[in-house]
Amino acid sequence: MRVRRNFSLSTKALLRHRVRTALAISGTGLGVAALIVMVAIGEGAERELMTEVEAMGSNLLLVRAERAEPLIGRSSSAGLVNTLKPADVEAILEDCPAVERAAASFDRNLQVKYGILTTRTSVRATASQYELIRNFPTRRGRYFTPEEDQSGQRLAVLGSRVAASLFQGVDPVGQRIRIERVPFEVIGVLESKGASLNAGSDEDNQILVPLRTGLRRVFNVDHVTLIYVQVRAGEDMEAAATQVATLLRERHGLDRSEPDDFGIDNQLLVLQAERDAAASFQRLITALAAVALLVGGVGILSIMMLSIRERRNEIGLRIAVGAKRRDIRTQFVVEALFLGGAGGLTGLLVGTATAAAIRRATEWQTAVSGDAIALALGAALAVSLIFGVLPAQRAAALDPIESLRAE
Amino acid sequence: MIELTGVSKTYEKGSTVVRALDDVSLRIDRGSFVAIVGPSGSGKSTMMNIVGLLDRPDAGRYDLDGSDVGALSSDELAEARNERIGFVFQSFHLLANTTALENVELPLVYSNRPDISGLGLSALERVGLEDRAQHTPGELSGGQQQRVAIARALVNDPDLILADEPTGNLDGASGLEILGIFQELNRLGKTIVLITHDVEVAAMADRRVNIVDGRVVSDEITRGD
Repeated sequence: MRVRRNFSLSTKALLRHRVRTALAISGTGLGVAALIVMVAIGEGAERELMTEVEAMGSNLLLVRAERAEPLIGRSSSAGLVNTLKPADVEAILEDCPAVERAAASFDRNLQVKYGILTTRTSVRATASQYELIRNFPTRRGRYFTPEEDQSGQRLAVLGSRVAASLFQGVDPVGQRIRIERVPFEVIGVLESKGASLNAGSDEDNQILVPLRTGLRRVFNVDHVTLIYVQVRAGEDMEAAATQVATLLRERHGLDRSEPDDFGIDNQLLVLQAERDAAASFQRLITALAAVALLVGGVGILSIMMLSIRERRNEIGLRIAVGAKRRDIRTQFVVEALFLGGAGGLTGLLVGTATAAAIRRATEWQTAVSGDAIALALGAALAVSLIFGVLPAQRAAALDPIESLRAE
Repeated sequence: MIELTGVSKTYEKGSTVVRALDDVSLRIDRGSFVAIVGPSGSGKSTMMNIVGLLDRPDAGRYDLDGSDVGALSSDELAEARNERIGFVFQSFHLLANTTALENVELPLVYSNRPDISGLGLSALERVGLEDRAQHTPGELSGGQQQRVAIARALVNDPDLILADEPTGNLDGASGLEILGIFQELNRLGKTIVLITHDVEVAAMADRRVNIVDGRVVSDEITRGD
């Protein structure tokens, strides 16, 4: 009963001094908004990382064919890059204990026909392991088996977008398509990945064919451009990369002075770097939020001090009509908490809106979680409590006789 | 019933010691209407602060309704002020931008009474201002503001009303009106202690106590019952 009466008193007192109240609220509001934005960016980055890791397949190393540059002025991507062979994959599987699975890949944009419809799409020759390594299952039908790969059958698994554009409602499984005039039987359609791993490559817009068939019948090459290597769970990615690199250098007969004729990308490290960038930005905003909250707290402190000075008469009167010291203290602590709480809510609105604006304006996926909201409101209330206690103590210690006499 | 026995109070002002009350003994019976009169600086305000439990004497004893208030804790004094004493001040001390009713209800905020509904409005009725309940002090005349303050003093139905120069900020007519209310309250059984420097105001009371330099110099019945 008393608490409720006290609370309504406090809110009324704050409403009587609107400008001052608004000032005190805006300080903590800014701090809370910064806090919300910070956590939103951090959580967004974390979620994005998890989605990317999931989309890519976990523990993945990418081994790229990369010809050592024998001639000055010729870029490594120009000309024929034929250093990686299918046999390298078997060797990696056999000799690198840290490696769980590996799949070679060769891809090129080619013309694909179904009936009278024609499209250009990326055709990728790869092994059936691709499904597990890339975590990329079929939505309909199936992948080709290792045996079908070995026996060179002409089978194709379509990306969801290719399937949609070529077949337009017809079930593609069991249909026949032609890749550069070579007939293939469609045996499966992939799940849609949506987000692309690297800018420019759309993984839903590709056709998978068995490695041997693809290399011999479509591309007519004996090398591959890429080897996907999945490292065993619990193994160190760096150590696995070293094993693969050592093996490949040996197999390719490179001596010490020669550079690698391949490159190994540790995708997790790339993502890690992205996350580190987000984290350092987050630290900056955390510092900003802390400063803003501190400023907000000092704002509450000074505005409370000012308010108590102006309201000495009122405090004296309250004591005369029966307020105990703790009633006065409670009243002003509640006022401080009210300022902090209002600042917290304001900051929550501003912060959420800012996070949404950042999401629209940048590539960052921001996410405002319940934890973030609790943290921000808690911080605002804690700050206002810390900075409200001192003025409240001072108000409670006022001498009623002098306070009543004050002009 | 108020009983002061040998009460003294001194203040230090810089290097000089001010003896605000000097060995004052005074007895005020329940239901009486007493004016405490003296020039400014005579110690009458100190007397009111001690009688009103806002201050403690340095020496002597103060019994309120038969018990020594010197033994009470600060919280107990607050409760006693809330339940047993109503204050009326010269400058009204109403909260600005707060309605008359809310001002009157202020002591109830600190009251332990379980049911307080309607008390504020009925106190306003007693001073004839129930139709001004939602007005703020700025919208009321000086006399009306002081009546709101009296209603505030009455809201917890205390036995004792302490009024410190209640007519000091009012014109003659309003002052008379306020004094009339005190007389009426006294007739209904309230003990009224009126502190004033104005002899005419003091004449409204039944008894006049003169204080000079912290001492009671005269104590006379001015009006027989």
